[in-house]
Amino acid sequence: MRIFKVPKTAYTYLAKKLTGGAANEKGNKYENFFAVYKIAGLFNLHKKSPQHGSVSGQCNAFIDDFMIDNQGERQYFQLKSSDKATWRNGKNPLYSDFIWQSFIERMGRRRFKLYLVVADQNKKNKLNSEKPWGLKRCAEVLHFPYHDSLYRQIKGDTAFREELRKLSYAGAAEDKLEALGTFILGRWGATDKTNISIKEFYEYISNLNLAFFASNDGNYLSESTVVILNSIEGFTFTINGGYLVWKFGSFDSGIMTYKVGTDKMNAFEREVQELNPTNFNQLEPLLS
Amino acid sequence: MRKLTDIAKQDETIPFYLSVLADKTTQPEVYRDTFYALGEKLALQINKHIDSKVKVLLACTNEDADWLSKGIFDHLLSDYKNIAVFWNVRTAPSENYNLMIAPITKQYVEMQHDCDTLIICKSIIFTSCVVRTNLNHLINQIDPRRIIIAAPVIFKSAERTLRCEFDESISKKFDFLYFAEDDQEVDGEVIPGIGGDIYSRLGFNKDEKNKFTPEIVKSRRAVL
Repeated sequence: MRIFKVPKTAYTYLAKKLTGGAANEKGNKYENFFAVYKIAGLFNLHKKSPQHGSVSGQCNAFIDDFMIDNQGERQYFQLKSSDKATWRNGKNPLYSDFIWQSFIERMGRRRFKLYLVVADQNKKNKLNSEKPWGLKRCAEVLHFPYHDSLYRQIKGDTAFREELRKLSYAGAAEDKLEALGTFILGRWGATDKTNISIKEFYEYISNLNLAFFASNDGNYLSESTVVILNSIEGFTFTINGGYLVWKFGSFDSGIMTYKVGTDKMNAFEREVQELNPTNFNQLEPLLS
Repeated sequence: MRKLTDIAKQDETIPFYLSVLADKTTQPEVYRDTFYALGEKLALQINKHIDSKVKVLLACTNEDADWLSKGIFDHLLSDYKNIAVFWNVRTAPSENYNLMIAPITKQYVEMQHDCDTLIICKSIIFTSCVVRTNLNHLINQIDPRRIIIAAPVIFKSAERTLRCEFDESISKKFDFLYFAEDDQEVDGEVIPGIGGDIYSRLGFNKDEKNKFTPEIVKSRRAVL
């Protein structure tokens, strides 16, 4: 068996890399929005089948921008928002970082995959075609477009929008997707970005008011509430992803920001039953 | 420091009204009437640039609907004018005020799919997250030829911020109309701005402001 040994000079370089990493604002945004994208994707996986892994940002590795550690398999992501990325150029070429990381993973006998993420589609194709032989089977180049705000990322990046759309209630408009993405971003920024449990992160976001994170907990409005709401002429509603989404007439619509089954929605139901509104004007103040 | 626009300098009542807003001793009733008066002043400017036959949609938040927005609406010369009112909840996820968002929880929109001119009015444009959210929501459904963004007061970076948030195909339609530009903010409040937190100045309880349905919505809902 071949023993791979990472030289000391490589670790010295790694220490410098970690202290200077992700210095500029564009780079920070790119990494953070990518983190939101990957976390949203993991949340979507978690909805189908529980994920017991973790995510890290700026981790202690040669490929250090983002890492997913899920059930024994590690995925490492190196992000380059500028269009100057090459495999071999520069004092510390990307090729070296990727090779060292692959050595470390093999020494640890881990299943792994390494990813270089770039903002330009043509760059991605070029780097994939120029992938060094030693990385052919363990590395891939991905495209993640750069946008300078989360709002623009949602508008301009179909894959990004789709991950958020699948997490939110059916038909959620862009402002709701932006809210969800921003809550994920905010929570990510508030952590130390080290081994953050996907499951705990998911549960945290799913319980946040105004995150518009859909769930199908099997909670329903009580029959008496439904009877009252159904009796209001022109008023229609559905429970969509746990949220009460409503319309009245041709011009009015809205969503209750608390999910059915929460204390706030239970309080809403009590108010409806106590007040027993018979028209929309009486119901409307309760819908806020 | 406040910079008045040329329009405001040519009408001595406008700086007076702005000073009434900025004066924290102004009572809610006078405060509301002042916004209505400033709305009328904004409408006078808007009318110079629109034809009475064009379809106009005037959009605002619920707290601005009965005063600033109504002042504009009542004095717009268009024969085909409709309103859109939004209830937004401003919040900063993880208390990071750089991440301020304003999702829409309720709306009353007299949709005009062939609207020529969209007017978005706001009491003050500061972080612009409310204007951006509501504007984006509307332009996902309509394609106006022109978008007028009107406010008595704007913060100095707000126009640039808003333009950057939209593709050039949209932002080139923007016309900004305001009377004063302020460049100071302290603890999230523009100085002198509109004299602090608008909800309390208008007489609302901030936590209950989204329970308020403007009279203009109730009256139009009853007849349309």
